[in-house]
Amino acid sequence: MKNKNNIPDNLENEASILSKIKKENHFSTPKNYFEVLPEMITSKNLNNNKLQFNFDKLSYRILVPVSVFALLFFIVFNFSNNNTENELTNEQLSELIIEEEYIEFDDYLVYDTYAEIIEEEENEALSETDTYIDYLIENDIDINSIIEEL
Amino acid sequence: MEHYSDDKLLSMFREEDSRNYAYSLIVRKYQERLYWHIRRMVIVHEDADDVVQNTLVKAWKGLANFKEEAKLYTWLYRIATNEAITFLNKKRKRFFISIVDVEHELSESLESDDNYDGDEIQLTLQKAILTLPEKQRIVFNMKYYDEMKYNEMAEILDTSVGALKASYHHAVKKIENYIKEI
Repeated sequence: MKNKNNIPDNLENEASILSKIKKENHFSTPKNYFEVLPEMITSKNLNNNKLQFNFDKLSYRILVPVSVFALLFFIVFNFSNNNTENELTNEQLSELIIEEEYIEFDDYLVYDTYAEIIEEEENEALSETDTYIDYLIENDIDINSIIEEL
Repeated sequence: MEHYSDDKLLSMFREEDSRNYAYSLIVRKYQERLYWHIRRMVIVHEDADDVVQNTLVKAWKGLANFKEEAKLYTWLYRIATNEAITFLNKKRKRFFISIVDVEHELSESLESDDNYDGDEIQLTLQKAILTLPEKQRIVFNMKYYDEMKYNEMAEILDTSVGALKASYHHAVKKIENYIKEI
């Protein structure tokens, strides 16, 4: 039995036509290609190293502080965005409700806000009256005399 | 230029002071052999240029971890072969070309290539080689043109000597039949 692994290297026995073809290299390269190639490769390696070095430098001196700053900015910005609702004036809030932009607005929140507004107005009015009464008492002025003068 | 053995070049590469010099010597020593090996696979000079550069850049990155169990040039050949195969696969994907058609395209580009000056029979031989399956083509080129020994090829291609002999035998038969039919 013929051993498949003992295929002869001799081409003449295996391929009569192929063995007659001259074993020549007919591919060519641009002029001086092999003189230039080592320099091209060396510069490519140097550029790679430079990029690596620059990245390391960047990462330590610029990227890390910038990333930290960006993270802080993101946190602060996000926090302030979440508080926007609290910063809205009552008028702005009313407008939003009227324009139905806050379609998922809770009714109780509207009542609470309205109640807060009335309470604030009453408190303001009360505090003004209290100031007048305190002034009259401090200066011992009779309120009836003022009414008479008017 | 002085001719150093691979062992000497590798020991020079390990020294920080002589690393760049050793690398440039390695490039000069093997660039042509690697280039022609790659060129026969990718056919077009510009493509071979890209692949040989990638091969040698990868070698630069990997040389520090190179284990001397393998020979330097078989290691370089292995990188070059893998790079060329990767390049051809990318080319197929990039242009949505089927496995058969990329070889057909390479065969056509041979005729219009300014960097190829073979006569009719040489051109026929190249076209016949391009009809072979990729692995047979690599084996044929390494054996026929580079005159590499089977055990070295086995080391590079990570295949048994028996499989390589069979592969070469089939390749030779196919080429012979292709030329006969023309």
